[in-house]
Amino acid sequence: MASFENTVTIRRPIAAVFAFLADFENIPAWNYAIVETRKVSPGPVGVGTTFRQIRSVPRRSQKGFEVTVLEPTSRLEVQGELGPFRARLSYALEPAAGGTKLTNAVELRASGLLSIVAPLATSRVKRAVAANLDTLRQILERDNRRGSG
Amino acid sequence: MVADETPPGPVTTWMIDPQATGAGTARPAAARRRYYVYVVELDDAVGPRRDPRYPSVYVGQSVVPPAERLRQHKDGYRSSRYVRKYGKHLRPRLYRHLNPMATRDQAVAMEQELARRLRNRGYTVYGGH
Repeated sequence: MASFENTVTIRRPIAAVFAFLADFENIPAWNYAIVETRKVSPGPVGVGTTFRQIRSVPRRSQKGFEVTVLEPTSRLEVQGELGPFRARLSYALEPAAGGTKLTNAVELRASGLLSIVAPLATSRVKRAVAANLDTLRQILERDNRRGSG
Repeated sequence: MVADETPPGPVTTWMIDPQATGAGTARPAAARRRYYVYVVELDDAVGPRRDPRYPSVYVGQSVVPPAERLRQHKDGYRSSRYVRKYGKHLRPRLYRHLNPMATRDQAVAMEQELARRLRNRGYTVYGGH
């Protein structure tokens, strides 16, 4: 198993960051690898809700994930497929000076031959996730400048 | 919004509803209190829609669960006139993933954020203060 963590500080209140993250169909807006995310289980979003998403990286494919933790406004966690890996992604939110500190922890599990190369891929995946989190920050901070509409 | 800052007691309709309190149990201690945001769809008689694709809604926050809070509005208890007169039903898909919250401050902030996001999407939003 490989794991890593990225942290970003977003100049938005914790409620705004949580509400955006918990709307999982926003993922394609801030994750460059995802083309579409769609809820496939019925009812409102909660623990156990499942999503399917179309990835374009490393190749076009359809993968799924499930919401495993949803604790407004402090924590979200999903488990599912991240490219060729089984993954657990958690998002911890805490107030920070002028905004919200978001910590994203990722655990990747691989089996068979893939487990040999997984550690090599980790640093590349970590950089990609960090870039996505920076895009998320930019979207939320830009959204703030747009005002309350 | 004053109409939704429902105090926990001493005598409110939700306290005598076993569905809202947990049958046969005392009111939860303050440390275990939870707060909720909710969205009520309003009848079109409330006024024109900003965007014809999206209905008018009322956004609120409360210490009582949304279904009970809607009943309170309809019963006239600390109610919004919009919900009392025009409220149709809750829209759980719009808010359930944001509940429950641990503090009133979080719920107030989330109420404002939810109202802002729904307005940006095209909903005509009442409340959400």
